[in-house]
Amino acid sequence: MRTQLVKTFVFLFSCSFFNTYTLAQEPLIFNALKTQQTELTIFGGADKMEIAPFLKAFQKISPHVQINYHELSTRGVYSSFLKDINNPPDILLSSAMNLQIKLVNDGYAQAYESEETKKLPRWAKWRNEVFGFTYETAVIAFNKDFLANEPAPSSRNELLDLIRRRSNKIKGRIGIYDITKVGIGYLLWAHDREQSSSYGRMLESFGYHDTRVFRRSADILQAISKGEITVGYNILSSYARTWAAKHPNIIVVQPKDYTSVIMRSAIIPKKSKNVKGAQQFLDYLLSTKGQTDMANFTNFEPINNEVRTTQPHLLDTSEGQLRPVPLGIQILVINDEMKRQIILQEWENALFEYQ
Amino acid sequence: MSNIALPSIRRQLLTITMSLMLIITFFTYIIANNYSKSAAKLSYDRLLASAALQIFENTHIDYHEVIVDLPSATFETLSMASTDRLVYQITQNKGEHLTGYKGLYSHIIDTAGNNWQRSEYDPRDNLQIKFWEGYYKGENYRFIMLSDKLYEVGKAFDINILIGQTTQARDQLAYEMNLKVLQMVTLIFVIAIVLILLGVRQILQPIYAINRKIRRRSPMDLRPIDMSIPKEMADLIATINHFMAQLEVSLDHLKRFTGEVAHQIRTPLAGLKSQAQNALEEADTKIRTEQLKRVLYSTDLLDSTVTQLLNQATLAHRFHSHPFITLSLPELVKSVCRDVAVSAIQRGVIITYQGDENLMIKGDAFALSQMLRNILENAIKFSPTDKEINVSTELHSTEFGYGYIARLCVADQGVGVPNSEKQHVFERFYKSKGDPRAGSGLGLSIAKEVAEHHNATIQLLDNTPSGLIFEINFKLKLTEGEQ
Repeated sequence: MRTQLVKTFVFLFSCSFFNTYTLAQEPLIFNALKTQQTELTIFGGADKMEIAPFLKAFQKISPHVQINYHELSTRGVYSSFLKDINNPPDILLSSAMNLQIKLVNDGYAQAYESEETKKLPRWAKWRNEVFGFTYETAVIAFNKDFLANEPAPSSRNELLDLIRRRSNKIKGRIGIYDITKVGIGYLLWAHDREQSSSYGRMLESFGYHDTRVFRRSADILQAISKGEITVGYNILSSYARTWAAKHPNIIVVQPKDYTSVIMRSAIIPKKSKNVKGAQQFLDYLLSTKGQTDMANFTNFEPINNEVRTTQPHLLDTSEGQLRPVPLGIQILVINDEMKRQIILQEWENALFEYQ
Repeated sequence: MSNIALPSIRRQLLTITMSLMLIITFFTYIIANNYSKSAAKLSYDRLLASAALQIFENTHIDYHEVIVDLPSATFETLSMASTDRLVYQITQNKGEHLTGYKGLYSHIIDTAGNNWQRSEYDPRDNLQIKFWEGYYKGENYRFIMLSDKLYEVGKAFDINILIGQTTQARDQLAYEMNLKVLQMVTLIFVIAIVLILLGVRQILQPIYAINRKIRRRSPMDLRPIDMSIPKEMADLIATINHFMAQLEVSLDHLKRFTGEVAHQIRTPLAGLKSQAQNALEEADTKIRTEQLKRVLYSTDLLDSTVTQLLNQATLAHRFHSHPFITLSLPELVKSVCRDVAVSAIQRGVIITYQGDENLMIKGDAFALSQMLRNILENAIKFSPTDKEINVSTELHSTEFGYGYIARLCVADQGVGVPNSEKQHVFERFYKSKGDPRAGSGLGLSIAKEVAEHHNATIQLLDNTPSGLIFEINFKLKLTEGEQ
């Protein structure tokens, strides 16, 4: 056990090393469209090329704002903020709900209430300090060629069934996030562990079939489209759908037994220097205009149901099989360091025991 | 009338009931406030306790190490306090960190000191639950500390589970409960005030009604008030009715008396007038002198009648204004006898007195003197010359021996009064028919009034061989010393 713990710490350490590296990178600067009056600094977990059109759309509404966007990993958003809490960005955007909640719970966020935040459902905000602005499902992606004429499995049990039936062919060709490094991967895995009765079998099956781990969604999807792997599990729908649109040999399935949902969320730090700008940005983020822009310019899936209904592939947020990761103190369990060790160990034991 | 006006009953009732209501409301609120606070505290403490217990259930020892596997639902119940923040730390032995917020345990142990509030909840051995409320990082938290032991062969691990949650939700709950209570109390208060106002109005209604009824009456209408009234006011109405009845009797008396007086005075006046006219026309000096003498006599008679009327008025006034004093009956009798002795002797009548000394009664000396004087004057008037009038006082026991009476007797030796007329003797303006000695006819009626005022009986008895005895019996309330 102890050796495994040490292993975990090594993972954690390398993780933070990675973060300092990313922080050192220069931010992406969007110059104000008109005379610059204010600066808005954003720490974000999203790919800068992905979010750029959206930020530009915001600048059309607020042309006097210069935006400094720091692209970081989800854990990087958290740790970079904590590294210099007296000099924070004006807004934190991250899909790592557990870390965002931890920041709020530890009193680093400031509350904000406006017409836009009031429109958010109760489960999409906490203490008026953290606001969910996307609603993204975790999906399973398949290589179409591998499935041949067989219909894609529509639930976890059907997936396990497929793996069992085609065990030899699938060995070494399952891809998942490296949960020790990818925050969203850990979050979804921990959520699965609590939700699913098939969790144990899945862990065993994944371990037996030499599952490969990836650090980026794009890497998994690329591997699927190239046919290096045949199944990608728990991939964020925003990426999967974008890839599927470009690569027709990728099939995206939203599991019917239940579908995990995560929300990208926004926090305005207490010591933010441009509170007003941050609030304006947040209002835009949650407004129908902002949500529509988000749907049009990015692969993020908006949380606003009215906007969602205009997108045929998006489910209504009230859909029963959708199980969002809670945005509240319940999630602190996932953050617990010992819990994290237990989950990571379980995961590593299963996946790397035979290697 | 210099009476200071008392505050109105209505205002007094309202003041008392309102004050009472205010006090009750105030205390109800205080009690409810405390209750809602403790109820909110209790319910949220239970959530904390269940979370701590859940964590403990999922703490175990694996290869000499304590493993805390937080169950996913641990903070689920605590998240019912939807806006409250949460901190926790789980330590082993003397505060060694296992998981959670580093440094929280030692910080809280230092801050809380000995101010932990022990919980009675103790379902298992060793298990101890303590609560503390205080500030942590600038916010008010409620902390629970669950301490228990886990055993491995030959070794025990002390496990401390510390959870803190901010108090917004419980404060909010207490506040809401309080608000509900306040609304209820206010509602009850308002209803009570309306009821009190109506009730007071209702209670005072009969008083207003009586007032209206009396005010509407003509001053001459002395009929009893007849209306349904509450029991408490029946006495008042009875008194008023009694008073009015008395007033009516008095008025009747007055009317009759005035009539009688007018009549009594007019007769001698008419006589006077005719005699005076006769005298004016009479040529014969001798007859005229005679006539003028009669005029004088009639004037005397009239004068005595008016004097007696004045006496009676004086007595009536005294009866109301003079309290009784203790006086010596023999002294009083002797004094009156002395006063009338001269005029008696002029008529050749001797008055004797015989009686116990030291016979004390309660009464009005002036009135009693008046009474005795009238009786004596009457006796002297009807007494034959050279006869005695015997006056006596003595102490008697009553007929049945229950007490004593003081008896005053005046016995003359005149012709007496036939039994048929005895009952009329005391009537006002009664005069023996055709008796030229008749006076105003008021003296004896005054005597009777005085006797009755002293609660004494007065009766006429026959004297032997002839004559009349006035017997007046005063009831005595003797103290022991006086017997």
